[in-house]
Amino acid sequence: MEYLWIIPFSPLIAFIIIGLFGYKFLKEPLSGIVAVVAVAISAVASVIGFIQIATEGGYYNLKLYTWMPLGDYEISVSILWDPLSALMTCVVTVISTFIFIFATGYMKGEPSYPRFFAYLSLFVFMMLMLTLSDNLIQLFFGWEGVGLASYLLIGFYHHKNSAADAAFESFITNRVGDWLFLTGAILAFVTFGTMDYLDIFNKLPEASYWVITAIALLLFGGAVGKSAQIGLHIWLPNAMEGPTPVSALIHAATMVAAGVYMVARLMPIFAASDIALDVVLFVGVASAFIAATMGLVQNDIKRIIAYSTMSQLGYMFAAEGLGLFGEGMFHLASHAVFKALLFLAAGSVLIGIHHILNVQKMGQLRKYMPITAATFLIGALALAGIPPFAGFFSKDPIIEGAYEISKLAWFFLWAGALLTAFYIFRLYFLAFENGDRLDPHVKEHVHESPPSMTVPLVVLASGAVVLGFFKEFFGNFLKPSLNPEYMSFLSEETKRLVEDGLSRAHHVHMAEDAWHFLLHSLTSPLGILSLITALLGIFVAWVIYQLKKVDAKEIAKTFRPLYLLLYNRWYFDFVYYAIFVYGYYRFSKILWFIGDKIIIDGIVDGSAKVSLLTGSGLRLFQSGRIGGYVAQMALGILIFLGIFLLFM
Amino acid sequence: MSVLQEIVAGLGVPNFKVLIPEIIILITAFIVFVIELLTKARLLITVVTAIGLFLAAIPTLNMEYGDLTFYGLYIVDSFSLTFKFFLILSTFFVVIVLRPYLEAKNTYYGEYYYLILFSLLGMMMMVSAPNLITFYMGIELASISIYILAGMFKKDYLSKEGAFKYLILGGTGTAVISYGIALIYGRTGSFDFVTIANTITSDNLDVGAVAGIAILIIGLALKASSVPFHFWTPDAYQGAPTPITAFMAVAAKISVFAVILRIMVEAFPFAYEVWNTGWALLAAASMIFGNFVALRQDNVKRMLAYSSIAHSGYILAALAAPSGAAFTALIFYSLVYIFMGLGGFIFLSAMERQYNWSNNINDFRGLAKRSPILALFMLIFMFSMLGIPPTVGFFGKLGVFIALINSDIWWLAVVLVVMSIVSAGYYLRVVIYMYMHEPQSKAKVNLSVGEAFTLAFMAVFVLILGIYPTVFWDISQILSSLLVAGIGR
Repeated sequence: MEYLWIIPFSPLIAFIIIGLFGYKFLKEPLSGIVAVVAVAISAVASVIGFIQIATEGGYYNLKLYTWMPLGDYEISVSILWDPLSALMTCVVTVISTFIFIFATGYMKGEPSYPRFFAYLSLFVFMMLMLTLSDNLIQLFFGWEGVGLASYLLIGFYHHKNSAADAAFESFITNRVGDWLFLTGAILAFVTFGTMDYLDIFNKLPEASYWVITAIALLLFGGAVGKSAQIGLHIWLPNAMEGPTPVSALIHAATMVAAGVYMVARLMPIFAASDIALDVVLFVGVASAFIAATMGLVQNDIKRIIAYSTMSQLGYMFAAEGLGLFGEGMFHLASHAVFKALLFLAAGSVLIGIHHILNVQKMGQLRKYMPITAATFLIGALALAGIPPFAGFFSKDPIIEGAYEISKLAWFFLWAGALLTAFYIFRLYFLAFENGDRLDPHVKEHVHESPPSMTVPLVVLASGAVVLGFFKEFFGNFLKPSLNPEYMSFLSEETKRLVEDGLSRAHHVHMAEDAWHFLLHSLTSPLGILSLITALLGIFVAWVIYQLKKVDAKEIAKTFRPLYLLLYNRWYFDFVYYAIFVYGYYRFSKILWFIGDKIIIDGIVDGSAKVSLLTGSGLRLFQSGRIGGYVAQMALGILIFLGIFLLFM
Repeated sequence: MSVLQEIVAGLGVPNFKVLIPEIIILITAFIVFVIELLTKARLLITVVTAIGLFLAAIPTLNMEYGDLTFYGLYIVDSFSLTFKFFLILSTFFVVIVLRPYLEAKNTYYGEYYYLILFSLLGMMMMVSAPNLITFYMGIELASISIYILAGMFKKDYLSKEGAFKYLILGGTGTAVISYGIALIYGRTGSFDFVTIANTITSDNLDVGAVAGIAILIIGLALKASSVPFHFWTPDAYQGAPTPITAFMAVAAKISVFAVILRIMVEAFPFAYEVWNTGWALLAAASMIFGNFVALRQDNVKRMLAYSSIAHSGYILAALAAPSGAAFTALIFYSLVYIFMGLGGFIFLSAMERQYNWSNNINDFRGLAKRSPILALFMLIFMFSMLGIPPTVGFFGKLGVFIALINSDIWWLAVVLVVMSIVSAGYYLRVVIYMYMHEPQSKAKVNLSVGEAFTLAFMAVFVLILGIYPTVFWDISQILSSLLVAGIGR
């Protein structure tokens, strides 16, 4: 399995090559090609590794090298290759490959073309360091690294103020989460004396319940920031300022899912504390529902999909909180495929109509861009959870499982599913179907995108169609990583602890096989209910936006307070602005006046003067006269010898 | 029978095989000496010197068996071979940047080359000393060659002044060292480290032993330019031709650190409470004094001289803790200091050519806009000296810091951290001048091939070692455990 080191380092090499020679030698097509080839190599390597682990079983822990000894513990750069990391790595590399290919078309003619691909390669490297890590420090390195890459890419058009601000906002919001994560990692190190996942897992029974809870919650704080869950979600919609391939790759398919992956990766820690699982569950449910409501009334095509991302990540966290870790990870994989597809289709639309983001100004695009429209429709159906598309097989188990465990969680997840179907088809009808609102000047130039863009769309769309039927395969594949009975790296005691924690999910019985699941859904009341819900959402969207039987503006007027609440995104941004930006500003001003002006300035000026004076005072000794030197040295010898001979 | 034959018959032939590096250096020195007399072909002299250094480096890497040879006067072990390799390496870089510097200054002397080689030979003897006499011979050969090298600019007043001060104060140091050696010989009746180690133990520390150790420490501290015996350093460093300054600040320093470690660990292992305190005091004084004075320097060369005093403090601080981890930290820091130290001084030697040899901080204004790569190199060196990850300087300081904390010497660890923060004041000043000020001229900085290669090599290594310090760390760990295992052989 030694070849696995290729996976992270191939994009790193691409980053270095493009970073050094991008502008001078490689220029436009070549730097994109280098990036695509590099990421394709790691995709091939990870698929080979995936197949190997699927056939042979077990897990591999490769220590590449020791970075730094820290007392008895050595921080190493290593690869933990088990079904969970294999799945995540494959999702990252394979989706990246298609998005990279798409980006070579999307970024055509962009003056900063090499810079874009350098950043993208850096992102993939960091993301892979994160997924492949076997310890919290390397995870944190990747965690910060993807944050950095995300910052650079959101602010890619840095001459635009809104982009620079959005980059800044995402960086700061993520800092809050990262700070919590780091605190959790340090607490884990203090408690367990190690950072390696496997050692931490096996030391879990020795630690007290409350310490484990604190560690889990702090680490989850990081996930809340990275995965844009309620509380720290405000950066994600604004992050859509970045180029669309970035939105597809980083802010939909991979980076934002890092929080979900981290919780699954550290499943034993979370399973050892039911409080932590409950927090994960309800933060997830709240995000799933609230983000779906925010998505109802937005007009920016990319932001609608962004809220949808946040909502779907909420479903994944809810699944993990319910103890259905396998279902959560499967939803992550299928969501990565169809959400990347939706974003890339949106990107293709934007290229076609010259970057008009407002859906109210689109319409009838299906006539001009048939491939884009068809693939978008497939993505939308998958997101809405219509069988036989991937979203149905990955989202419905979560909703149905919730019914068995917590009725409250089920209700909001179910309501969220209705809203999801509605907002994504609102977007579809507004953009691709009825209503000729397109600017005539734009209309003349609208055309289907080049093959470098449509081919990835078609591939991802086929993925969204067939992936769901592999439900059983994925379920069985992930068992050695997420089902304590099969987890060979856990000690017996830890196994018992984890099984106790996951007992909440024990009475959930769902068909593992995709066909049986489909059959079951179409016959059981609960399955029929969720199917009808999804169809209802689509139907309502069809009535309002396609048939125009009901005027959307009328509805907005009737429910004005609700509309305003949703339109203003539940006033999160306003409250945050009032507290953190304005409040912080006022608070700093007061502090500045009292503390800075009076106390600190006094000390700083004073100490600066003292140190400078000391400097010039000490400099006097360096008089340049040799006699003086020798005399001082003799004095030094006397004092030094005196200390020894008198005091020792 | 001649005298020689009698000696051979009585004592046996010394094992010359392990001395091949030294022999090659010596022969090269003589060849260069002769070439310099016969021809004025400057390139030829440089090339011959470089080839000699290269040939000498090979056996230091692939020698399989060490030996205690010359009738117990000379030891060749992994410790000395490693340091010899790095000494030869740093000398090599000094040699390849020397010619453009001297030619630009119009004061070319062929003597530089063989004097450097003799000095290197002295340093190699130092690190191979199992015996106070060998050590003394080595340090004298190295120092006297450097006195001459520092004063080679005959027409330059500063150079002459610095060399003269160095000669007087260095001579004092030599006197102090010989006095210390005499006291120890009087106390133990031997120059040999092993015999000394077995004679002086913690039970029988008397005035003779303590005074001997203390005086020897003073002498060594002077050679390592540790406060309060550092007075020669700023003047000599500033006055000497800059590549020679690099040689003094790096090669000479490293060999002194190595020999200090060997003497303390092998000769006085059972009297460690005496030298612990001594080095702790000297290290603290060097860190505090070096950093505070460096804050006020406008001359970058002088600033780096004070910074090298501060670095002596950081490195010697490891000796405050008598543990394997501390010795590892000392070896590691000494080895990696080669890269940042050489980088910093050779950067200056390349820069000052363009600026009328002034070395003023104002010359650095806006360098990033004129020569971005060059400015980036200097940024890396400054960050490394300051100890910011991912440069290797961070790991050097971290190693010393952890060693101090593991031995519960908190006060010195705190001094180290606080003084590192103070040092940001002057290292970052250079960076600010390079990156945040507007350039005064648009002219590009011209580098010779040797200079460009050296700077790039050093900068890349500082970064690589900062990301992947494991190899050097392992080497240091092995050397330190060998050194500890060799106690009282």
